[in-house]
Amino acid sequence: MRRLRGLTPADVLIGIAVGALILAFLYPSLRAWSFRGLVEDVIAEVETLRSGATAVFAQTGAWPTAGAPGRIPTEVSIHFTADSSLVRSDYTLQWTIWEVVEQVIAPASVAPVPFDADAVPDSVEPAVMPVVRHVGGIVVYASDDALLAELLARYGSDVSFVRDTAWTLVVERSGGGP
Amino acid sequence: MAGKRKKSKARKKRKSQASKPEASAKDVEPSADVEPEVVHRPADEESEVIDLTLDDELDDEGARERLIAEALAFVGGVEVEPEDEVGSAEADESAEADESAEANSSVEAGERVEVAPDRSTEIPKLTPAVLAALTAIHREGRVSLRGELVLDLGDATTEEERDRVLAAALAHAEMQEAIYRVRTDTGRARRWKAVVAVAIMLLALATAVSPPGLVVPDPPASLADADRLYGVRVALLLQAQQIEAFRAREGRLPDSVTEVARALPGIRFVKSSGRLYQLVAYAPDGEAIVYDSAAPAAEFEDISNRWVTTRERS
Repeated sequence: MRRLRGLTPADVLIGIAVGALILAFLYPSLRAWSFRGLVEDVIAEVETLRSGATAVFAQTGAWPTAGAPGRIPTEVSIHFTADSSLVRSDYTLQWTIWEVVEQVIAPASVAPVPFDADAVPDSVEPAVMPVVRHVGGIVVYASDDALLAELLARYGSDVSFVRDTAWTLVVERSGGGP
Repeated sequence: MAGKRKKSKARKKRKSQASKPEASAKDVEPSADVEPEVVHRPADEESEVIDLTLDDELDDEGARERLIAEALAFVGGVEVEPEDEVGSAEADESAEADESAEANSSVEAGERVEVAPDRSTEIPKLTPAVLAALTAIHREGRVSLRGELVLDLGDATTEEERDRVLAAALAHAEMQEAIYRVRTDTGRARRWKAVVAVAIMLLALATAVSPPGLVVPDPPASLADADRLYGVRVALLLQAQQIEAFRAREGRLPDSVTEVARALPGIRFVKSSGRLYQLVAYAPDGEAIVYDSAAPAAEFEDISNRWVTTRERS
């Protein structure tokens, strides 16, 4: 057969050009749509990990065991039914634990007793003592700066930060969502 | 099998005629309507071949009318209607019975060309009956339905059989014409369509390279230098918390960051005394950011006030 029925080569050329134009118009939206899907995927996994870890902390008083990047803590593995890895094509998740020090008021038994000869001060700073506690941490490793920035914008800079190619979320006992 | 042998033989003859135009001219009867496309062999040949080169003819307008007129001229006034199966059976019997009958039939066909009336203005319709005739003959393998139509009249020993084959030729011509009824652009239309296509292509290219704001959605968040600097400071503060936790637990400073529970990469630990230390990291612009445990910078105090380590204290 020599040519398509009812269409001349010029018609076909115009059709291809119109298709290319439509694709050019739709491409930015398609790309943004794809990126939004990626962000939602990451947030969904972060929230799953966080809610699972918070539930474990509420039950046991301890955070799940920290693991290597991409490894799901065994304590929260029941929340991830799909597979046993947190390694994705565009990002990798990690659960970690941080130590933080709080200065708390020391109980009276450990407060320093003034000498008898000393005058009673008008005011005394309460004695404080360092107390170590643990907080959880979720780290998302990704090479896409836009993804890291989007996560920082969603969660805020008072519970998360970006350094190099990683976004870190600190998980408190009752932390807020994005 | 006899029919197939005749057909291939006829095709060979047709090809040899194409390479020898002078010889072909001798074979064809001198009819103005028939000569260019309908080749009719005289009675002394084994079979008759009607060669309708449809590929060439259907490219120009009027080919359909001319083709059908030529076929009608060959038929010589016979109505284009399919014959019933009885006619076909009779033709088969005659072919098997006598070879000379075939030659006589060919002679009659040749005579019809000479007396063909001018029916170029009459265009037979593609009726269901004609289609049925075409289907029947095609099933018998007597006609090759390709771009170049070759009809083998070797087995058409009777006038009715010949008419059936020619009716099939007409039907085939109609169908070919319908298939190839391509709307061919004139030069002018082709030019302006090409211009339109190129213009649209250029517009698509421009849109792809620099999409207008109308089609660009809101850009995603981006990382500013301030965000990265803030991240460096938070990382230093968090690392300092690990060291302070070690000191609270062990009563001394670690000798290196490897002793603490969690060490962030890219942070240098400098132990200046048994009680003081510094942590050093680098901002994106290369500037060194130092956390001094003796007197942390005000930026660290601000972060510490906002950050989780002091949140539950208040």
